[in-house]
Order: sequence, then C-alpha cells, then structure tokens
Amino acid sequence: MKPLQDATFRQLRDFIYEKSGIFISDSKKYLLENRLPKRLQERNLASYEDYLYLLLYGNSSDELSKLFDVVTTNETFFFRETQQLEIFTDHLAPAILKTSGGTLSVWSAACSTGEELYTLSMLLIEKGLGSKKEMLGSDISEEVLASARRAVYNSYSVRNVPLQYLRKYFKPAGQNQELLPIVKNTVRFVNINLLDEKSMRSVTGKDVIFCRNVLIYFDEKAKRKAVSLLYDSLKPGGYLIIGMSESLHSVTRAFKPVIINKTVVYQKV
Amino acid sequence: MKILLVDDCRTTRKILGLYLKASGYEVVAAENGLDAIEKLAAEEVNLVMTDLNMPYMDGLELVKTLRSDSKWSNIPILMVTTEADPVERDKAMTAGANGYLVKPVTAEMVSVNIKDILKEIFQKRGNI
Amino acid sequence: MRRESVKKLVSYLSDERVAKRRYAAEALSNADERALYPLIRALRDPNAGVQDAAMRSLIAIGGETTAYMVLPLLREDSLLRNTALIILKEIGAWVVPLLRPLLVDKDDDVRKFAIDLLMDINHCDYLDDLLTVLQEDGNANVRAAAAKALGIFAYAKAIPHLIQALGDDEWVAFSALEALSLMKIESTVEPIAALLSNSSPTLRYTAVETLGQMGFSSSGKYLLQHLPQAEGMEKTALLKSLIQVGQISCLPQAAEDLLDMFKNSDWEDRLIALQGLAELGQLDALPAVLDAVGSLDPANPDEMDIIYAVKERLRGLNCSGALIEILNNPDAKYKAKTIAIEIMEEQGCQAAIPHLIALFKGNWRDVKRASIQTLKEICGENSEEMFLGALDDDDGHVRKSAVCALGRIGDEAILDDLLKLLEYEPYQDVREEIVKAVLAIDPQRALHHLDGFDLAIKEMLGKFSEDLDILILLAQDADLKVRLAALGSLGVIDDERAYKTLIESLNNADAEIRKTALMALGEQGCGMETIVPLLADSDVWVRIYAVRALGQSCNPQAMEHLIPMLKVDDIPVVLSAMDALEQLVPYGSIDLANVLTPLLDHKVPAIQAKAKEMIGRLS
Repeated sequence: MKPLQDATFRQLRDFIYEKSGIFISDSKKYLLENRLPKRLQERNLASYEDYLYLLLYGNSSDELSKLFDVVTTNETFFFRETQQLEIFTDHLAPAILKTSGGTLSVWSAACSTGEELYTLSMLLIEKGLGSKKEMLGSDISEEVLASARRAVYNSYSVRNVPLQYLRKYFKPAGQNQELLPIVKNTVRFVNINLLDEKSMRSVTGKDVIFCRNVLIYFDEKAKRKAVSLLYDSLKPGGYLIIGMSESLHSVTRAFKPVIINKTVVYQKV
Repeated sequence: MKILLVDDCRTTRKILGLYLKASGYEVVAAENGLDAIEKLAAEEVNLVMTDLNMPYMDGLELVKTLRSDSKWSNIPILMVTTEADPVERDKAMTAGANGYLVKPVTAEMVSVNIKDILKEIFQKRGNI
Repeated sequence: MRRESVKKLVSYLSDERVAKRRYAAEALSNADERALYPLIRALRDPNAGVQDAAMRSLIAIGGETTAYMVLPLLREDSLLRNTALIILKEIGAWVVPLLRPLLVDKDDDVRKFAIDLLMDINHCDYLDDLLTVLQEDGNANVRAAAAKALGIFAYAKAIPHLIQALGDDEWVAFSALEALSLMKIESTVEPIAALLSNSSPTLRYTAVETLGQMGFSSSGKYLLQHLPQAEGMEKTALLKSLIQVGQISCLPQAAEDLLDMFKNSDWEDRLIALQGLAELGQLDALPAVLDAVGSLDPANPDEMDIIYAVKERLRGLNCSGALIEILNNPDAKYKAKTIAIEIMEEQGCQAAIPHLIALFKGNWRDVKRASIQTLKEICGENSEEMFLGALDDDDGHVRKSAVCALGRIGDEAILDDLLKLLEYEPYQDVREEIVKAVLAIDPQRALHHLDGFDLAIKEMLGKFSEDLDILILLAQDADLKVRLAALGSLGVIDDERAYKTLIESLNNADAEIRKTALMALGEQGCGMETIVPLLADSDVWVRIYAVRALGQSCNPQAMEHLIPMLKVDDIPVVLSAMDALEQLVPYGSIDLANVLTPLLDHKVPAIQAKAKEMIGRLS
C-alpha cells in the first residue's frame, strides 16, 4: 500500500474535522497511518485515496461511525482524576441536592466506554446521594457506546477501583468484571456529537457536565463552539468540569472559575 | 519568592520574566486573568504582576476578582501596562492594586517597586 | 433554522430574562448588518454568557462592515477594548486595510493594538508603513511592536533598521533581537554579538540566546570569547548557544556544566544539553540521562517524542560499555534499562548479548520483552535454543519475538514446534508471525498441511505467502476471505498461472472477487480487452479499479475508453478517469487540457477543482 500522501492526509483531516470537530495536526499524521490500514483492509480497499472516496462519495454512514472509533483515543479507566470526582461528591452534589429536593442531573459528555459515568454513579450510590438522579453518557462512537452498555471491563480499566467498590458493585465475568444492575441501570448512553447543534440542544437542564480530556482534540474554533453548546445545556448555576490539565481561559469568559481545594471547576452564572 | 506574571504577549512575558529571574524570583506565567486565577488555585505566590489589556479577563477585572475573594484579598498586586492614562491608573488603584508601572519598564524599576510593595505589606502586617 | 425576524431577536436582547437574551445573541449570528449595533451593545450585558454569545455572533457575521463597526471599540473601556481585539483577530483579513490609518493614530495604545492585530491576523501589505513606525514613532512600546512585526513578516528591507534598533530603548532592542532571531540572516551576527559586552544583563542574555537560535557557526568565536566573563544564567545560555551553533566540541571542560544543565532544566533544554554531551563524547552522563528518560510515559505522545529525540541524540555515540553498565545496575529504573536495550538494538551492540540473555531470564516484564526483541535483531543461530524455550513463555510479546527470530534463523528442525504452537496460540499477531515464519522456512510444509488449517490461518497464508502453489489452491477455497487474500497476493507473482487465475476471477459472480482480482492485475498490467468490459460492471468499485488499471496500461488506446467515463454520474469514477488519462499522456497524442475543459463547469466542486489543477499542470 502506498504511504499516506500529504494531500490525502489533509483531505481526510478536513473531513474528520468537519464531522467531529477533532483536529488532527500535521505532527499527529502518524495516528492515521497507524490506525487506518485496518479499516482499509476490512473494506478491501487498496489505498488511502480509495478510503477517502468511500467517505466522501459512498453511502458511508456506517463507515463514518467506524472512522470515529478510529480517531477517538479511548484511554480511560475507573476512578480517573479522583480530585475532581471528590469535588463532585463532597461539594457540588450535596450543594445541588440541598436546593433541588433530591434530583441531580449529570452528563458525561464524550464518555467513551462509560467508566467515568459508572464511577460517578457508584460514588453517589455509595454516599447515599441523589435518590432521583439522572445519569447520561454520550459519545460519537457507536462501538464505545455499545461497550459502555455492556458494562464489562478488563483488569486495566478497573485497576484503580477501591476494593470495597469492586466487591460491592462488580461481579466477575470470566477474566473480566461486570457491573451489577444496581449501577448499570442508573445510567443511559446516547450518541451525541459535541458539535452537532441539533442533538446538543436536545440536552438541557444539567446540573453538572463532565467533559474531560476531549476538548484537547479540537482546535480553537471547534472548542469555542462545543463549550458554548455545553453552556447552554447547563442549568444556571450548573458546573462544567474539564480535564485537570485543560483550561477555558482562551476559549470563553461565559463561565466563572470556581476553586475548590485547589481544583478549578467552571460555573454558569 | 514566587511571582505570578500575567500578560497576553509572549515577548513581554519573556522580558519581564528575565527581569524577575535576575532578581532571584521564581516565575509562574499566565496569559490572562482567567489563566491567572487557575494558576493561583494550584500555587501559592507572593505577588501578582499583571498587564491591563488582556482578552477574556483583563487586568482590572482580575484585580476586582482577587480582592473580592477572601483567599486573595490581601495578595500584593503590581500592574505593569502600556496604559499611561491617569484615569486607568486611578481605576486600578481604586480597585485595589498596590502599584502601577507604565511600560516600557527597566529591570530596576520592577525590582524596586516589588520590594517597596512587599515592604509596605510586611510593615502593615507588623502593625496589626 | 430560526424563524424569528431580526427585529424580534433584537428586541429580545433587552428582555429581562438572561436565557432569552443569550438565545437572541446566539440566534443573531446568521443576521445581517441590522444586528451589528445591538450585538455590540450586548457585549456589555451584565451577564457573561450573553456577552460571550454576542462576541461569537459578531465573529460569525464577520466581514468588512462588522470590522468597521467594531474598530472604534478600541478606544473604549477595558472590557470592550479587549473583546474588540478578539473579534477583530477572528474576522481576519477584512480588518487589515482598516488598520493602516491607525498606525499613525494619536493614541499610543491604538497604534500598538493595530500592530498587534496585524501580527495576530498574520497579514500586512503595507510593511513600509511599519518600517516608518519603527524608525519614527515616539512611543517605545509601539516601536517594539513594530520591530517584532517586521520580524514575523520577515521584511528584509527592515534589517538595517532592526540592527539600529539594537541601540534603542532596551524594550525595543529586545523585540528587535526577537525579530532578527526569526529572520536568521548571517550578516546580523556581528552587530548582535556586539551586545555581548553591553552593560545590561538582559540584553547580554538575550543576545546570547538569539545567536544560538540563529544557528550560525560563525557566532562561535564571539560566544567563546565572552564565556570567561559569564556567570549563572548567562553562562548556561552561552553553553546552550554554543551547542546550537555546533561549536561545543572545543570545550571538553563544559561537560560538568552540561550535566548540571541536564539535571536542572526542562526537557527542551535537556535535549540541547544532551546533544552537547554527545558531541563531547561524554558517557558519564548516560546513567543520569536514561534515568530521566525512564520517568517518561511512552503512552503520552509528547513524551514519546522526547524519548525518540533522546535516542536520536545518542545514536552516533559508541556507548555499549556504558549501556551494559546500566543493564547491570540494580538501582537503575527498569524503564531506563528498557530504553538502554532499545538503543543497543539500534547500535547492533553484540557485546551485550550475554547480559541481555540474563535479563531475559529475569522478572521485569518490560525489560524481558525489550531484551528478547533486541536479541532477535542482533543475535544469531547459536541462540536458537533460547528462542525455542521462549515459545512457552506466558507473555505474548515474548513469544512473538521468539517466533520472529526463529523464522530468521530458518532451521527446518523447529518447524514442528512452530506448527504445534499455532494450534493453541491465542493471540492473532503471534499467529501471524508463526505463519510468516513457517512460510519463510519451508513453504512446502505449509502446502502439505493446508487442509488441516482453520480459515483464519488460511487467510493469513493467503496474505503472506509468495508461493504459487499455495496461492492457487487458496484462490479456490470455499471461503471468500481466504480467496480474496490469495488473489491479492497473486498480483505480485510474475507467472502465467497466476495471471490466468486472476483473469478468470474477473468474471466471478461476487463483486469483491472481481474487484480484488482487478486490483491485483492493475499492479501487473494486463490486456485492455479484459478490462474494458468491466467499465460497465454493476459494482462501482470494480468500475473504479477498471479505470485505474487502464491508466496503468501505458496503452494510448485506453484513452478513448476513458474519455466517456468523464461523463458518468459516479464522482470517484470521474476523478479516477482524470488521473488515469493524465498517466497516459506521455504515451498518446491527445490534448488532455482540451478534453478536461468542459469539466471546469462541472456541478461538483471537487471535479471542477481537480480539472482546474490538472489543466494548470498540463499547460
């Protein structure tokens, strides 16, 4: 197979950007070179140019979903960046519940295979919070959503789960761990593209949105758009939590940075 | 001693950073007021040196925000800006800045002003 | 699509409900000029979310009129000024002509904003005006901004003036240095070097850095001359610059300082220090270097880049002794050992073999993997025993390396062991490696066993084999995937039987088979008579590959079959036909540019664009 030509790379990159907001910089060209050959093989295509033709001119809505699977980096595990999780359970959730009469609406945007959302749910159950909670997870990749719904995880994913949670909320499934219905049934997964206005606007009234380690793949323009749509999905006073190494300081002034225990969360005022 | 240097221009951050390091200060940099607040969340600094004109949150708004938060109501703040207009200076000092320098500044001006501000605050604390 | 009129939305901007105002501010992003003034007023809304939406909408509307109306905000209060700067930057090129008169505005800050905007937008077609600002403006901040801008725009005419600016206010000189470091012109080395004896430590330091960044070896003598007087930060910068201009080798005594630099800096400076140490042939630093690298996480792409950069710096260094020491140091991080082993592989470090074998027998998973991976590369037949033993290892990576090594060694005697492993090996990539190894050692063996293999293995055999007998058999297999794999491989075999098999497959009922056969034939080249009928195939991909095959045929007669394909509905077929025709131009006598001209009006933009590009090339 011929190597990925620059012109083809750019067209692929533009296509991916248009459909998902994910921007693959020149220095990350190797990501496509590593991951696309498998798609080409499965589709029995001879070159990257053919793959581009398939995406642009074929009836490729199912291929689009596979493409999203390829370009989203699904590095996630349970109990990730626990400082932020603690802020949520110890400060944000109790404060929200005080005034809401027991309802709590949480959204894990770009949830990948679901570890984050299930972690949040487990924490709330364990602390007896949010009897009427609504836990939503979304992503653009059908494959990861299917995996999230199955709720079966390998040892790498669960390596950070404290023992008491592992015993209480998981059951062994062969060499893996499966979440019990008490957690599995509290959450819902849907396919939402962070840049698609229509589907983003269908999500409203959220108390807390987690959108961690996903905006880093967007360029400035896409970041601004996604953040603006996330803002609209929050209730006034609601919180947006992004990755610990991320920031909104050159994206928007709409949010107020709120500092709790040295961690920054963003509030819609 | 650690100083938070806030300016949206990379060149300015470089030269002011050199001035501060030459005086023996450790420097943490931020691009605008929002960035400054995020950096302050994570680190203790002894003084904030900030520009006025910055996008998303300018220096004036930064001063007001810091002064209205109990964590930072007493943190020393030195403005370093191109704005020579005395009206701007007044606004900044009224909002709670401790000093106001107009660019271009020299290494010595920066050093002397920082020392003066810190001395004043030290003395004030001594008097309480 | 929003239904409300612009007028209605504008009225919502004064609604008492925040949500309504924000909704209106966002919705007006599609509006015309009537929305501009209300949106500008909304930049001051008491709610930050409304302000933000108004800003985004003004950016979305963009254009000359928006630029014209936002520009005056540069004279307003801080919030409006700074928001205006964001908007104008995003509006981009439209703003540039409007900034020209501002270069001579009465207000110092407005002049500076104008120059900053030109840099952010990264476009200016009146650089002489900027040059005048550098020479004549009364405000140092403005002159400094002009200097920087001239460097960013790489305006050669400005060079003598930038050199002159080195004697201006320190603030201006600093920016002039930045400009010169961007432009990298050798004749500026001398005037910059003159600053090395300046009384200002900031200017000295920055001059040192600039010489380093420019990278000219002629800077070396000035830097060396200045070294004795330098201390602290300045000294470190000097050493860095000497490395960057390639003049460090005359300073063996600098090794200790470089080691310090390595230990106390960020990775950007560390890599420079490392380069210096490598050029000085300083191996003492190696343990510290690998130790630092051992803390990096290869899963993080930026840190992976650093690991790669370190290996590159060490490439030329003959350091097997030092590396072996690290392997045997019980205190060394095992990640450091892993990287040392990888470097040994690249350097073909034979002396390390016994040490690697010892490590392979140890317990650290990553070290073990790296050891056998390297041994596979640098080791020979006398290690066959060890590799054979490794086929039983629990770790899939280890088994894979062992199989690969055995495949290379090529000893027929171990074939049975390999085939046995194939029966129960769970990992796909190891199974592939086994198949490749068997094919490399003795393809006939594979042929004899063919019926005993499962479909997945047969598919791999089809994919990797170069043996005609195996491929012909597999090309007739009942399973589609196996057939496709075999057909694909037949394309590279120059033999009558291969050719015949492929030609027969062109008539197969399954489009995937026709397509694969055509792809394979395309590489070999084949008769036009076989391909032309496929231009009318029912499957679009077969048609595409037929077009391609014609393009590769070197036969000018193909052109007359391709030209009608320019008129079909399938866009990829048209695009492929255009490429195919271009390939045939050297063989035929058709005026392709003429043929493509009607496509300049094609309704599909991609075809139009391609036609334009090709016609341009052909003329």
